[in-house]
Amino acid sequence: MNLPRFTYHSPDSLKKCIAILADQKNGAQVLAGGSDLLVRMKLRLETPGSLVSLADIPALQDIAYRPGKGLTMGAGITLSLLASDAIIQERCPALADAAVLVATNQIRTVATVGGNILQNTRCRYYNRSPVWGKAVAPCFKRNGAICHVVPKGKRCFAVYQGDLAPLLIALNTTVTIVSKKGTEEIPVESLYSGDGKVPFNNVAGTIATGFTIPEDSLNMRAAYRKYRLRGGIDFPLAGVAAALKPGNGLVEDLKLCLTGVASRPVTVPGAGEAAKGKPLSRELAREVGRLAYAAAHPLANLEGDPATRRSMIRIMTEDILTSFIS
Amino acid sequence: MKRGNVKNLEKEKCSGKIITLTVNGEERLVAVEDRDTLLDVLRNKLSLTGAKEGCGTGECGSCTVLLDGQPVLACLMLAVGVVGKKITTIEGISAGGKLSPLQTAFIDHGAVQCGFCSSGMILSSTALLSANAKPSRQDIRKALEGNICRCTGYNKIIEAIESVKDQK
Amino acid sequence: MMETIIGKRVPRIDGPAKVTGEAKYTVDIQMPGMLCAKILRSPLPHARILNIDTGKASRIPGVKAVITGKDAWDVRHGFVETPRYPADQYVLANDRVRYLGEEVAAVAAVDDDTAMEALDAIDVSYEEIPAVFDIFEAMKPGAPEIHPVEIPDLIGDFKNIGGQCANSYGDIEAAFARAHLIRKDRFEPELRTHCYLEPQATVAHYDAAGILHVWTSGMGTFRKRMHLSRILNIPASRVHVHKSWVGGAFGGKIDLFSHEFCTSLLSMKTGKPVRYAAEREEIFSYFRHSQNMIMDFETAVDREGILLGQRVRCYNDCGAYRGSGVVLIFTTWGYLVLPYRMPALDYIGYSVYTNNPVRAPQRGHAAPKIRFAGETQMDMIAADLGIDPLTIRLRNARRPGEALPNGDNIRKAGLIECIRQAAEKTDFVRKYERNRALQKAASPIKHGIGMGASGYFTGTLIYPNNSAAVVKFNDDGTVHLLTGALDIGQGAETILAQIVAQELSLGMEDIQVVAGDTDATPVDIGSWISGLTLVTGNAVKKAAEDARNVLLASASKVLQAPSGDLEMRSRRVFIKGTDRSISFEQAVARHIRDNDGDPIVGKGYSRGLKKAEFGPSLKNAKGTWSESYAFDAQIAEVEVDTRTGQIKITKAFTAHDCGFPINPLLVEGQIDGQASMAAGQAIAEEVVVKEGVTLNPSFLDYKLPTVHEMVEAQYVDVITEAYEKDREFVTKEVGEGYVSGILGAISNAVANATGKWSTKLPIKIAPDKEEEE
Repeated sequence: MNLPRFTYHSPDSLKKCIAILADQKNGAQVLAGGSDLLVRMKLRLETPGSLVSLADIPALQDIAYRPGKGLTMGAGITLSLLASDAIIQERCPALADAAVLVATNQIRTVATVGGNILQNTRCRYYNRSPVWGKAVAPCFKRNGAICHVVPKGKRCFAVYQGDLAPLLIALNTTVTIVSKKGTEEIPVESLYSGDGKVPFNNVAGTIATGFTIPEDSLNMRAAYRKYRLRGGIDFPLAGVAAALKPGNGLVEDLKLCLTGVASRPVTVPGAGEAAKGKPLSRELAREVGRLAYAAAHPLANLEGDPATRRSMIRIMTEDILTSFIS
Repeated sequence: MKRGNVKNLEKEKCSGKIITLTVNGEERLVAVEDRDTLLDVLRNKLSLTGAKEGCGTGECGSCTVLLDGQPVLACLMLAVGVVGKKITTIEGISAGGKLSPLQTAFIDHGAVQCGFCSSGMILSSTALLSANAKPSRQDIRKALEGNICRCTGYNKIIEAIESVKDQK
Repeated sequence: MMETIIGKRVPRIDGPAKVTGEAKYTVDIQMPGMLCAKILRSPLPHARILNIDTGKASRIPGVKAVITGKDAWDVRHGFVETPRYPADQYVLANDRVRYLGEEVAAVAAVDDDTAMEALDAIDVSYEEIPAVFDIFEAMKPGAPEIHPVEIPDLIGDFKNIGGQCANSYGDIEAAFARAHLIRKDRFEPELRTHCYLEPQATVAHYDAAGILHVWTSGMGTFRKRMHLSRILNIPASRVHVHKSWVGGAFGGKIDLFSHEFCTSLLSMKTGKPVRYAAEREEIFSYFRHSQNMIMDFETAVDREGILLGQRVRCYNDCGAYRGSGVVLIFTTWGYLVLPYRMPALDYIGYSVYTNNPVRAPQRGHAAPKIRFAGETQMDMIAADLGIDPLTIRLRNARRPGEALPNGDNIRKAGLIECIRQAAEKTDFVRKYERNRALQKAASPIKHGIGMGASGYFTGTLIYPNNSAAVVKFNDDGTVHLLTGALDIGQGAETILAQIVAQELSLGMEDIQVVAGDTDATPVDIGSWISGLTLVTGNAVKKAAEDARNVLLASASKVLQAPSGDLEMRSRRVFIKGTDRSISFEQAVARHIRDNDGDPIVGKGYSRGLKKAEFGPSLKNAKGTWSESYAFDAQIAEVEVDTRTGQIKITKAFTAHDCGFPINPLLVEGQIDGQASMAAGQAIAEEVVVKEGVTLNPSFLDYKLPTVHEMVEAQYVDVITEAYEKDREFVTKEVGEGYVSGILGAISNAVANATGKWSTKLPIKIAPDKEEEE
């Protein structure tokens, strides 16, 4: 299976990288590990004129903990490294645990944190070749005007299935964005548009260079649970991340974020309010589970039954909170 | 980073290049297009057909090769992106014509049937055992979760790996 | 006593080639000047082809040939080609397409890109016609007509019936009249697929002498040669199908495929080698999957659970062409009546045309489906009557020497022994009762154990019907075995070499196997009707015996001792009880010298069914089917989390009567693979097809097991036959039958855990919902 033709660039600095991205008229895409982008290119879902590799930019490879500031990770570090790095394991073990749940060993070897966060949305009517596509009317994401999953829908409902984003969002992580205009740091949450077709806000010409989990979040109890039909390979059909701040035996704060149930990671509304000031208990776990369930609206665009995926959101939420009780 | 040995063949018309790849300990000069995957180059330009294309989209693991000792999917690696790295294919595992203990174990334990997954399975296992001489059952599962086998049900593959582990 | 190599765990002889990457599969073949072939497929499930314009495509530089249905007008092929069921599938669509993905045109070009560009440049005008995808809709009189077929003995007023198999015997009315219990259930397993890891590929080279050389992913080179010769209208002797290693097949590579025709014709048109390699998505979407079938069971039993009679109706969706559907509705009957005595039966199987993709056999060909249904209903009946699953099976299981309704005899069948041993070795009854008692316990984690039994045929009469083999001595006293057998992963070459080693007291290293080449080796039945070990194995045994007898005669002259006093070991012939001997090398040389240069070449042959002229009737299931039937009882253990609905299959135990195992290591590998395939089908695998479009055409979306889903497998061999000198041996098949019992066992184990039956596959348990309102 061959790739469409493109020109390959491998700048050795961020500055050069930004310059190349700005310069390309025939559509340039940033290439990190490639496990998402190259598959879409093989299927001709993307045909950028240039690929700009981040592999040679040393600045994207750092992992550091700075007291007061928190934990920073370069966008280019691989998921294998994320899972095995001593600093991550010490400061944010939930992140290392989540990284191991992504895809397969071979993919974790090359796939990066940045690539995982910016992984494109998926749908059983979209992630297919042009030959397959000839038999099916083009959907929104294939530049058509219908959605096969929600026939009366006015937009694309492709699903965001990243494993790391819900956890990073639950931990109030920020992302550093570099572009010609300069550098800015924004919440990870604000990357996502919610539109299945174009799932990210203003990424053209920019690079996500790193992520920072603030000090305060590193003291929270955090975990990610993933529902899939097999023990490996599969994307989450539903996923829940929770970060809980305990204080004097009561819950001081709780943030829940879901994946695999909408075109973006979904922060569960009302979870913090419901939990605040209460002792952590099975009853609370069930209450929050129901809130998560109410926030999840999976559709029939992936394998697996949407009703089951939704129930699993509730069950996994309960399980995480119950596991925090001890 | 080593990129010095990459030069454009014809800047204007196409993106062809001559690159040097280090494959199984040998430096190999190949003419490639930017879009060529490592799998294309290994199979079609270097005649190293031990790496297989079972799906082409990173799902089956038949094309697994080692990059600086780590298992990667050759179908999703750009050849121009692996210049300067050590590439090991199945053909490089039994250097000198002697099978590795793992290769022998795969044969002796019945871990090979049709053989189409075997190259990738053995490379994934080789990487595992060189990083972790005494892997647990779960370590083995995690290491092989990206290698699909339809013939064996995986039972004898795990037996083979565990037999080598026990020798160490 | 001579050391025996039969029954030993001999490592497979193709192991070194396969673990070093040396083994060449079809897609690995590289030839100078080789062209790339691509196929244009119909984007519509049912349409008339008004026109195909290939002009623009042909003019693209680098395009060497374009072919369409016009190059093969009315050239058809079929899995079955008989007067009742003539070939119905076009090698390239003529004036109509009947399923989405049907082959419409093919191109050969200098590279992939050019070939793809050419496909895009072919302009096809279609006129869409109404399509039908549901089996019962397709049977209605007003449904769109897919083929103008007439089944003269059709039972019922149905349309689009591609085939019908009807078989009744015994007094069915009386059986139901005296029944203590009658159960009616409908079973609906979903469509599954093979997932052979090697994508289908074909290389063809029509050489200057007019010989067509073909390498292709198949399951028997002689059957491919027959098909290619027929559809290309060239003599079989001018089609040379070469051996290439096959990366798994499981039934999915036996049919002739359009790409094999196209690649061959494109090479004939261009005189160049041409290669076609299918993409995985193409295979999932347009190639042949397994069969699906809806089964209505109405079963009458007495108070003791003894089967009195059954009314069974099966509805198979064969897709747009017959494929193997008409065989499936016969084998369904076969596996329905094989394991248990059934005094009266009223069976009709319909194979129905729809506009879905065409179907092929898959490992077990009907047995997994019908045994899933039969074994599940057997447990339902047992539960209704308050009998345990072991007892009801022992009461009904066929005993040695019983005749089947078609007159075949199951001879030394070890089914009863399999059932007993399986139950005993797994502590079945105790666990079954314990799990039942815990169904209502508070813990959401439930454990289940279930049993299933099955039987399977071992070879029948389908072209090429027979196998032959040649064993020739080399000057150094080693031998070459020439066999047409094609090793598709099961280890055919290894067990055949073992037989030669046994007969000639040689080591495995003394035997070179030349296999699967239609020019260089004798005919072979192929690796697809579960008869290779029996039929080819006996041919090889005879060839080795033939060579041995000549060798011993020569040695006898030199040693001046009668043949009967000689024995062979370590590549030497000894006079028994002495150290007087000559080497094989000397005996071979002496034979050549004494016989005007005649070397030692042994020949052997064997036929599927020795006494029968034909195989069984697909119309009414009458007539002999097989000389040897295998049996098994299998037990599955599962863990069900009723809160999440997740099912984990923890153990698969198989007690089986395979006659005797020639190579237990390879037999175990077959069982492991079948248990894994059954586990996938039981709880996860399903091909989702909507209006002809496959919605999950990838390994990511089709949930075949990964290493995480490995099922712990245990086995016990029930030995009923033996390998003896100068006598044909009887083996029983091991490659297909063990998907079936275990599938029923898993279904029953889930019911044992949860108290709920599943009549559909994959089994789905909804997560606990009580919290959500």
